[in-house]
Amino acid sequence: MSNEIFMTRRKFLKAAAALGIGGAAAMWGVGSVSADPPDWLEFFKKIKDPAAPTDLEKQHLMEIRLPTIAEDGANVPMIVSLAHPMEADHYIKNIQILNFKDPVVSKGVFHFTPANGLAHISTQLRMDGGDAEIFVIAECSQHGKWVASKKLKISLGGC
Amino acid sequence: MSEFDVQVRLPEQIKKGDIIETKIKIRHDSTTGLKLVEDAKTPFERFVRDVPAVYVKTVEVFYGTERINVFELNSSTSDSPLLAFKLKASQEAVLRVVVTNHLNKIGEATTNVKFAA
Repeated sequence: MSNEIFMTRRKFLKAAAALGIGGAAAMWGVGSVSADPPDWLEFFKKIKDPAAPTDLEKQHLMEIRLPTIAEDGANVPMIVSLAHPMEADHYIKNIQILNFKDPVVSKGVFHFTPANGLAHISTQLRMDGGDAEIFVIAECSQHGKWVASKKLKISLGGC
Repeated sequence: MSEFDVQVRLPEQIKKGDIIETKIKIRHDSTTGLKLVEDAKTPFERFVRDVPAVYVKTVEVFYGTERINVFELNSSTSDSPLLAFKLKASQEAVLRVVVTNHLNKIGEATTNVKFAA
């Protein structure tokens, strides 16, 4: 097998993990504690320049509201919202919230339909203490999965 | 855990076509059941299982006959969470919320989406 083919196969497997198996594993993975986010996040789309997003990027721009410092890790309020169309053939299918530093990585998967009118979720998280980076993955029915993140500090762990 | 209570709340004034905020209050305990290991040497050893986890597993929202939302939760959601999301008020219909916990016990709440006169 040539090196080129090997690389292609490896990339394919990484992408498959990112889009399915990896996401599912992260969803319920207890004990998958790691300080760094996994490589498979690179397969999701990102806003390249937040100061000057393209028209497509503007649709998938996530507003993530989190406290900069949360005193109680047992109850960290979080709001995620996207000003994205919610039409029958073009809408946000789901929003996943992840923190790879926590013992329970997934903070929930929130599925939407066009009947919602707006992809918006407000919830409260249980998080470990210290510095953290919350990753949000939003899946568009036409344009795939988009990732954004926000950092915060937790004074007292709540896990 | 003895109590399991679900409440759903809508704005008082709703006009047809409005995108309204819908709030679900779930009175339910939540714990990861993990214990912090103070002298852990690696990040992988920081927590060990102490007791079984207790949590809300799914929240399903039905508007009329259509299931419009499924929220998959776990023990990393806080105790008694208040969830809020948007709903496009396209019809007068029953809004039903079905909550299932880790023991597959079910709690429900309903309200009516009714347009202001």
